[in-house]
Amino acid sequence: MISQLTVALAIGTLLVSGVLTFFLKNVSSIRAVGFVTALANFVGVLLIPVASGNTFGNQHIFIDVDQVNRIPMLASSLLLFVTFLMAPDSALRSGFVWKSLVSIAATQLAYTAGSPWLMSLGIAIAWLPFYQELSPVTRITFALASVLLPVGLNLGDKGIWMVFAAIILRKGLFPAHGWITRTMGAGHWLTAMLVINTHIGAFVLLRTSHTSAVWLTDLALGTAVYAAALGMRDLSPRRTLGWLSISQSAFLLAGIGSQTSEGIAGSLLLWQVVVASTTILAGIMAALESRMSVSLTLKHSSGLAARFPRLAVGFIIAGLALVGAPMTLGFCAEDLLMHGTLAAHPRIGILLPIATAMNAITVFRMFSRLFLGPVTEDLTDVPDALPRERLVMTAVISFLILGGLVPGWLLPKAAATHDAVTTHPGN
Amino acid sequence: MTYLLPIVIAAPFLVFCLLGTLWLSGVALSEKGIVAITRVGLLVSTVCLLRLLPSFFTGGTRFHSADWFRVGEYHFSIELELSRLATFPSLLAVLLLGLITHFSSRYIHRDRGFLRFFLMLNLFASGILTVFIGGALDVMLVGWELVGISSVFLIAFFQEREQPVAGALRAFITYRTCDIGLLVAIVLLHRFTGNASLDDISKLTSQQATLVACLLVLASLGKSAQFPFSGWLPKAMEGPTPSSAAFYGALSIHAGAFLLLKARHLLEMSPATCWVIVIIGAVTTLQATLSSRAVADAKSALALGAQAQVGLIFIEIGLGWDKLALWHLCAHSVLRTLEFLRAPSTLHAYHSMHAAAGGHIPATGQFYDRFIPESLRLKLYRVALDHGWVDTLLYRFFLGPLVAVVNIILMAEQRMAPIQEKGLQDD
Repeated sequence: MISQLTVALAIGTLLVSGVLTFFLKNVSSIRAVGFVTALANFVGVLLIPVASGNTFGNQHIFIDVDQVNRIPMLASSLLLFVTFLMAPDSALRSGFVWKSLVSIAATQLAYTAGSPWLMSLGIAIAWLPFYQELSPVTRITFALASVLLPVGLNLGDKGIWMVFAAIILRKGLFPAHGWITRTMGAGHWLTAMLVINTHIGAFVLLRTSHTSAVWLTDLALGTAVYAAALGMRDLSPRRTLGWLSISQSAFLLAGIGSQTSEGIAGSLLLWQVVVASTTILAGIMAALESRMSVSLTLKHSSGLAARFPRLAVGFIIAGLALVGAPMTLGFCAEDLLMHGTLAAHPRIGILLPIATAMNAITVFRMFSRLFLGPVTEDLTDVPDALPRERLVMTAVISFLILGGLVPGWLLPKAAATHDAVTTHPGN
Repeated sequence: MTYLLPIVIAAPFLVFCLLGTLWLSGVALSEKGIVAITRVGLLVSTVCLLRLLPSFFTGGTRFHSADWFRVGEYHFSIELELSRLATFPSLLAVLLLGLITHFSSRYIHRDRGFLRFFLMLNLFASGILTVFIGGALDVMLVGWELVGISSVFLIAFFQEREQPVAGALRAFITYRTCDIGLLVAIVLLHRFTGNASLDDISKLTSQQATLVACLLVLASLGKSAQFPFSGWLPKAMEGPTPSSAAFYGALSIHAGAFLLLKARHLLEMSPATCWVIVIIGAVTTLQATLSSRAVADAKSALALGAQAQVGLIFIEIGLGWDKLALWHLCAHSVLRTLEFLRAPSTLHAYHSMHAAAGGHIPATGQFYDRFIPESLRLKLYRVALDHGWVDTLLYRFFLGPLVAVVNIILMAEQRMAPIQEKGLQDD
């Protein structure tokens, strides 16, 4: 009971702060309220006692943190924390903070929901604050998923295809991946990260834990290679980050779908890595774009490292962690994922290391085109990373590196999730 | 004494972390300070290795840590081994890196990237020592990746120029492509034998051994610049000379050959793979010898010479002459390092030699050329200029069609989701 009250308090804090920031006009105050709320939410989620197993479907549970939603909850708090510190002032003036707070409150409601209806409600509400920033295709995709999911869950085995369709739509698996690149292109970098990095599709699969979803792993791996291949050739940094997000987050579904302990643990580690790394990458690119007169491009080298050395270092460390460089949390995640996926899918599992290699090439190509080469724009009076940007980059990089050096403190939780998922009655 | 083994690797890595943290926190270290800290790291590694040297006569030293991480049945533990095979390459590595540190302290003096150079040199030292004394393939992978990352960052050292950046990207693409072999080999070894050790392979069938051996050969081709992945090496010569000496004269280029020497038991179970290695080595030797006669700059000629020698080492490994291959590897490292470090003063040395001789000294190295008819020489010159058409053929028959398909799909995706960016038309 205490844990459920704490969950309600954590989510309620987000909503109250959301309302408060709606009325605030001063950018510094908005950022301060957002930052403190994100931090309080993170600490609150960290301190909530974790219920054992998978409490989903238990009629007595309204909302709770259990072994399935603990890591997604922490990742969503981390997402808020990073976006509020990385967002440029111009983004904060346009209501970014209240929208983010309300959206993440609804997402956390979906994560902690004890019933299918409440989870579906949270998922359906979570994207509405960003309605105006999303493209028509994205709105249709989300609306369709919001209808298919509750109906499918209510119909049981007969409606399983609807649940799978909702997962494919929300995860952005091929051929329903178009909304991710559109979201990257349509709105602000960090708005896109808030919509993409909640990984609703992966969470629904984790919650419902269907063993008949093995084919989803194949589709996820196919999507990962498809997006990775396109990412290697795209010349728009926005779309390229979108391809990277599609590819790397498809691995999450591949690992969960493998139903092996290594695969699920690897997915949950990668969940944190993807959220932390891609948000930092998007934040750095938003910071660069707000300092420059033209959009970033990968058509030619821009030589930005000469002017922004700290942003360059933050970019490459976050990027390499995302694609599993050694001594980072990404390495442990990819190692576990590879073992889990190849054990469950010996033939198609080979696609995972291939996609990882291609994504690594994309990250280095982005880095070399953006930060290396001759300087193309006069940026003499533009500052490098600001103190708040340095703070968040240092925090995330420390998390990624310390997590990689000592992954043991994160893994027991991930292993417990595997037990909770595979022993759930729905399995 | 076994506790000294992790210190060998950790010392340069800690120096890398220390220098990186100081830079990020804004502390400006003097050049002398940077060199002194690097020397201390290498000295610690050298002393530890010398203390362990007596174990060479008693069969080597093994270090086995508790699990780095564990999930279910799968665990990743850190196994290090200073075997008879690894002793001399490891000692040679620390000694040559010490020499290169000394040389670079003057050669890179007052360069803007002085700290960056030493950061990467320390990361490389840690990586190559992990490759040499890694007791299992998964531990070697950590070092393998660190060597690759430090290598590409040093190729792009002169980051304000276009060519080094392009060369670095090319090297990174080759490394990551070939590293897929090592990744998959590790996962397969785990599945077949329950661990990633190359000494415990008695459970493997002949087909399994051949499959894993072929994957390891693929991994070794990238790092050692062997046919058909040899095109990146001449382009990597844009980096600073001391790093070229460390990577492509002394250590990194031999990492592939060392991996194959370590996989000796596996190769014994797969004679077909041994013949493949012999053929690859022979083709590379011929191609590199030919190309080195046509290149115009000293460093490229030296790199191609190194490539040819590593080709010969591959032939020796394929034929089972392991001791000869190991001595060849060590001797070649020393000689090539000397040649690379002398390369910047080649003209000075040339003129001094002629002055000392009191006149013109006849050109050498034309002996074998005279056996080839004049008409054939011209044709061969054209082949040599384009490095045996390896890259051209690879692109035309393999990469070109793939890139064309990806481009067509990408165009369709871009039409569906156009992005209007600040100051630019959509690409």
